Amino acid sequence: MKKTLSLIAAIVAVMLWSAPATAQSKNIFTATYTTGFIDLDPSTAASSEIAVLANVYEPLVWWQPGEDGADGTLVPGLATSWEPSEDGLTWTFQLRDGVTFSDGTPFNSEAVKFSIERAQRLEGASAWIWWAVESVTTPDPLTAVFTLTDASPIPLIASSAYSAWMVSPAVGDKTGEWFNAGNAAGTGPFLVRSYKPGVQTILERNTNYWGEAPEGAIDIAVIDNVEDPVLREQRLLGGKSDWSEGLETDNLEQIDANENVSVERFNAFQNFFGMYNTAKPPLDNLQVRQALSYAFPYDQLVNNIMSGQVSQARGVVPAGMPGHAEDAQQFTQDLAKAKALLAEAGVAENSLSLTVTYTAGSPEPQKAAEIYKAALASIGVELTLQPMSWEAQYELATSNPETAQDIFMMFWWPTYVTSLDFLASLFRSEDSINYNLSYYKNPAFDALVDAGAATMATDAASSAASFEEASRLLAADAPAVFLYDQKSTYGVSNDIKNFVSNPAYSHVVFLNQISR
Amino acid sequence: MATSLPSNKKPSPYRRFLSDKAGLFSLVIIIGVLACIIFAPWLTSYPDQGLGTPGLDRLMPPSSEYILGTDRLGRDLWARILYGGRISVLIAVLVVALALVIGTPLGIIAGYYGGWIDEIIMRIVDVFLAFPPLLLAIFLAAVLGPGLFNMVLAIGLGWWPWYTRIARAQVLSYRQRPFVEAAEFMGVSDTKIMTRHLFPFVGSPVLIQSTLDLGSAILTVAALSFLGLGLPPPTPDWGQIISEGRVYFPDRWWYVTFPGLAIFITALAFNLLGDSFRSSIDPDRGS
Repeated sequence: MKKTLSLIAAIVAVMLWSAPATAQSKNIFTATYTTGFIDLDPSTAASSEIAVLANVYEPLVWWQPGEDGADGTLVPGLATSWEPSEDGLTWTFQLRDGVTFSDGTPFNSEAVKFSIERAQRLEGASAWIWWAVESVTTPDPLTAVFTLTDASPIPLIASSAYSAWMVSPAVGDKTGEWFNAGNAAGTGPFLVRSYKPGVQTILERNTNYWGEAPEGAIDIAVIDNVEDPVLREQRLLGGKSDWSEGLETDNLEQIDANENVSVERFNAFQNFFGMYNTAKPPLDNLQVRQALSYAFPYDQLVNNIMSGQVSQARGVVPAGMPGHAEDAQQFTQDLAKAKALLAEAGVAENSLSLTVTYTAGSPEPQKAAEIYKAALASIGVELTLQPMSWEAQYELATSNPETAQDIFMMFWWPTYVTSLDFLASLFRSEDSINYNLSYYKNPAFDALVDAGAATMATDAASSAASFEEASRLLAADAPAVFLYDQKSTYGVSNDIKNFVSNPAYSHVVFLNQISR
Repeated sequence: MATSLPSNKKPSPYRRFLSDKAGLFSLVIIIGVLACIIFAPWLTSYPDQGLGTPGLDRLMPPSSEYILGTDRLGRDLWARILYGGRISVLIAVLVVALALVIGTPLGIIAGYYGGWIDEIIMRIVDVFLAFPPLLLAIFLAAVLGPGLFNMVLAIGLGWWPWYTRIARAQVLSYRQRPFVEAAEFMGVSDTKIMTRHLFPFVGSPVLIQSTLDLGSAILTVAALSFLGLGLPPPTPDWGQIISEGRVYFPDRWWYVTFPGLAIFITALAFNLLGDSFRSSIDPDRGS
């Protein structure tokens, strides 16, 4: 008995002594994300993994938002300056000196060549950004020259959140498997200490980082993946997490009222829409698509369901991005007109039955689909809601348009800050289905997008004009019901300072920027 | 003098049931619940909202206008619970009916024929019973996809083995009785023996079990739809309402509390009723 008591006393003494000591020595930051990370390979990752990648790797160029959060400028990353040739077909980058990868390999032009070629070779979902790059040459260790087939804004592309991270050439032939086993080889301020897919990633400070750390810098970051919104909220409010995304819109006010937490909103280029299946009847008919677009209760969604925290979309390019057309057609709910259009299209009353797919467990699409169903019922159209896992939803959509869903609801944010991504990835004709899940084919639209893409580097104004024209055409042709543009909203603990979200890198907490 | 004879006969099951207060009480509750869901359209001012039409007064607390408050799309929660009960109870009843229809005949056949037929049927039963029932239901629901009948199949396919066991045990204890042997001797067909002579003895334990099971079936239906494997929205269902509302607890407590109470009351009532049936029909086994 005495022995036990003294043992307890010893344990308590150790705890009392060690607890404050660890708290002082390590500054730990915990973040909660919604879905698990799938792919930590910096050349192929295409989703929220950038939460990790943007802290472990660096691009040549960063996109920095302006005062209003939109108009951005390009600032040096691993490149210090860049310059095009007169014809716009070569870009020369001067590289930062004295940078090494975490595996000890020096960063130089060979590494740039390796990284770009690796992204092209592995053909990840975002590898298309380098389409115009024919070759990368290395005249000297601190100069990299991009030779292009078409004039293309390479610095902007190099600021991409996907497929543009600089990877150590020592990686060689290793594939995603090596990265997904918890390995990394970047130049960024953090290192991957451990990675449990779908559960948790732990990052620790890279003591050899070339840049500076702020005062009160974070030493260790714990990133948890929590699919349940209730748990996410509890973790944030209970102090187990310093930062969280994916909080229930209706609870934001209460969360903000908590004395230890605030809700912070940032400009984002993210929007939400439902893509019509234009490959089969009845939605191959413009009048039916218009009718469905006139039937959606936009005002109810934006002002009632989302409490005015989003704004109604106008076309597919989000407001604030070059290429967004302020005069594109914006539908408002008009059930009489919708009914008349259906009649004109020769659709018999109460004969139309459609299905909509969306990601199960995601509250916003479900709310939107439920109010849409009620509105459509009032004009005699039956809508069946089909919540599915993202994988199943995407597989159904890409298998055979003839048997696929009628409406596909999803969110989109750009690979790099360009309306090209919204216009081309989502609506340009595709031979094999990728993300054009409207199966939209319109040569006039394609020509406008291509014209815009061709002049992006050489004549920004005419490029934007082409994209605007394409946006207008698209909005009027209604291959999708465009619902809302969204800000990004996060819950942040009050003792975390300097958290700023960059719209070009959705979901990222820049760990070397924040402090406690 | 027959009337004055002290009766050493046990009172009839019917009279025993009438003297069981808990049983009667649960019966009243079940009749009440059934009446509510059958007459749902007349018991709420918002039948459309019960079926899914959104309103504009979102997340309102209980008031004279909305007696149980409203949900995240502004629908009257009382109406949602009434219409949700239709689905929850209907599925539970169909599940138990499916289990009865598959399980009981198999049990009678296994018990009557014995031998290799018995072996095969009972090993299949063992295989099904080896799975945790909820896991099996989740697996089947995920494979079959959403839909009322798929949900019935998903739960019912894991449920029938219990009835096979009960029916078989019952048949085994009557199999060797003289009246069965006499019937066989007289050349009565097997089918007739099983339906006419054995089935009546299987009836009462199976009835007790199915009443008890209705409560568990309601819980299982709620669990599946809570996990998002139920009917596609906006069709309401008690488990699904709780799943939607859980993110709002405790600030909007009514959202999960009332559908939770509906499940609790209904499941408890079926359990009490089943218990009461058991002690009325088969008092020796106790309850």
